[in-house]
Amino acid sequence: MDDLLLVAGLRRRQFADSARYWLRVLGYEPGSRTRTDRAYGVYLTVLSAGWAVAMALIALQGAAALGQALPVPLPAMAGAALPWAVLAGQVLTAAGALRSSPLKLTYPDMTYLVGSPVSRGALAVMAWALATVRALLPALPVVALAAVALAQGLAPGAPERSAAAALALALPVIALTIGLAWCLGLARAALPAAAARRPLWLVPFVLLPLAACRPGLVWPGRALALAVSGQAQAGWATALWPALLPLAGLVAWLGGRVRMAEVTRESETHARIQALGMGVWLAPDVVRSIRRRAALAARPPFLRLPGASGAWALVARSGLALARDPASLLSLVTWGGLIAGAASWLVAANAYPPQWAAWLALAMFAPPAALAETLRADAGEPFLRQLLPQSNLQLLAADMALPFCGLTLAALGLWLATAPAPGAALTGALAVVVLAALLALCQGAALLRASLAGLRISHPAAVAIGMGAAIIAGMEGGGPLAAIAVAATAALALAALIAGSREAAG
Amino acid sequence: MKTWQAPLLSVQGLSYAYAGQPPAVAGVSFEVAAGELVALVGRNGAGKSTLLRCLAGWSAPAAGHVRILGLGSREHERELRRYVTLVPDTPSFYDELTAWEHVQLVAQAHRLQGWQEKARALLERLDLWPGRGAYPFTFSRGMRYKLALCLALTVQPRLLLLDEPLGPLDPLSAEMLWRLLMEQRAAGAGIVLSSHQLPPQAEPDRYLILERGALIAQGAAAELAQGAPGRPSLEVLLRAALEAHEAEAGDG
Repeated sequence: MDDLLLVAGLRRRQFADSARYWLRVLGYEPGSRTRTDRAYGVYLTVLSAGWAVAMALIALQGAAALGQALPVPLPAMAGAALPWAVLAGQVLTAAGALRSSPLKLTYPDMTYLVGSPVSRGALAVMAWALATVRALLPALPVVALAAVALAQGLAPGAPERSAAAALALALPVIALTIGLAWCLGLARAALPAAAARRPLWLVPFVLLPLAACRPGLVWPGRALALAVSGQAQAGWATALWPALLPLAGLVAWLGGRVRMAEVTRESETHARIQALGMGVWLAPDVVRSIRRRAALAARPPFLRLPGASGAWALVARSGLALARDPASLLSLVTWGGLIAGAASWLVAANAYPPQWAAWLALAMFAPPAALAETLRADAGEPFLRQLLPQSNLQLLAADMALPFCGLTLAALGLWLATAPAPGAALTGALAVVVLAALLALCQGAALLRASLAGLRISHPAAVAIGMGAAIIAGMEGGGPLAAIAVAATAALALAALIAGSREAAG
Repeated sequence: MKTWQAPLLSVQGLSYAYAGQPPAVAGVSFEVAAGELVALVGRNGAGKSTLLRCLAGWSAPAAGHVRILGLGSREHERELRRYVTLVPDTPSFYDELTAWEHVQLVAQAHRLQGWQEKARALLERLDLWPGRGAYPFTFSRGMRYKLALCLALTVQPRLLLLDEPLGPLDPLSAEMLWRLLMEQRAAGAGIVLSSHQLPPQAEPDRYLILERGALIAQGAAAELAQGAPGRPSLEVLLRAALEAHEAEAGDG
């Protein structure tokens, strides 16, 4: 118990250090006793609380409005799908814990705790508790909002009751799921024979076909579905709470038996990322690079660079990079497909300005990073850029051709599967291609340091101007075709600026 | 006595300053002939790396001109990229390509013929052949530098610029690097390298001594050492040049 308190105290101090940094970013000096600082602290607290309450109310209203607009069969369909979605989440959590030790250490942990007499069980229990809190923080609001949305068709007051019941149930279900996954992961890290068996992480996936034969296996999701649909009381969940205590004991017992050499080895990537400190939040590119390198280093290189020449060699390189980094390809296809697919839907449906503004903000600040992954390396590293004789425009075309095709095909597939009418389908398909090209050129112009009248073009500015102009043209009576024409013109203008940009990457 | 042809590299009044800083390179002028090996020497922060970046076209100078093969570096940026290669002290690589695939990509992008044998020989000489199938991010710093050098030599630049090439290399690799540079020089390439150390057998044709961004002395070792006995070390050359510069400044 003393060790648990010791580790808890250490983690509290680490959390306080991070909190102090962010408070300083906000202009507040923690520990200051001056009257102005205290007043500013009170002001920040009131402002944050007010903001949080306002956001929560807006989110609840939005969920209620969404629930009222949902087609009648959708809540029932969601109720049927929820048990399986929950089971899939549980399977993925268990697979993740079996793939790599769930107990992750930072470099200071490795230096000061691993060799110290502090109980490993205490370390494991504290890490499990923190992992549970980190999972609960985003999950609980989502559960509450989903319950409010899905219970709109029920009796007055039902959404609130459903949300309360869903929250009361989701909390122990999530904690138990993570706890059981941790027990599996810690057991693997404790047993040398199990740790050596890499495909062990695939075992939890057996539950998916098994659950089709034994529907009882999906009881947590089914209970959650009942709670969401107003058929279960919050009191049900109390039956689950006592299970957490023996589970914590099991986590501590297994944690005390893990081989720290194995845990340390499997914590390397986590430790590197944590060593960035606030860079974890401020430099997502670096974090992505660390993860990508870890994933690449975990398996021998597969496939070979094809024997193409000239700019085709760069196209082949881009394809090989995507094949060796499937996570990047997946993110491109899903995120890029959704963003371009949503744009074509908005064009064809003559959407309102707020809907376009939301889409534009997404395209400006969260573009699909994998679209320009290889170009980023070529353009950002002068040593590599100087070794490629291609012009900036050739480089952009070669580096982005395959990612662009992946994005466009995903978006076209999404659009054609949901297109309301044949005429709209064609317009939307055209919009997908043009907007995806414009998005690629906006990223390319920023990476290749294209400039206009001496000013460097940034990605958000290019998107705001190019796509903003297209949206305005479409909404000011020109229709979807006018918007597409303006977007195509903006794309051509950007291509011309890229062609005239300086080729040295320094 | 060697007779130099028209200069491969001509630098006139080159200046560069980082934002809000005093000039990192101030009015530097010199020439490098084809087949000449020039060593850039100076204390930390003297402006060696910045000068090399300006020569390679990575940084646009605030004033002055860089001409390579008679072509202005600003006006003929793309054309000159075929002729000039700078290997920085910490080169970067593609995450998803192995060492051999890096060489392959560069050779194929340049449409080179029969590059495989040359590349293999180069990798073997630099002891990189066993690691050709590995990702460069798993290499040590020295191995990364050697791979960067392989990539640079694959495209056969007319002007090779090397920033601190010997720092990360073991003595045997340093010796091999020097041999490769001698071969490049014999083939007519101009070489400019910045270094704080040189292998024992190394004898650059000329030294350029930089101090606070300015070129304070240039010449062969014997000229700069002012009669010091034996073959002068870099330390002796640098000290002699700095003392002469200080004396000159004092007289002025």
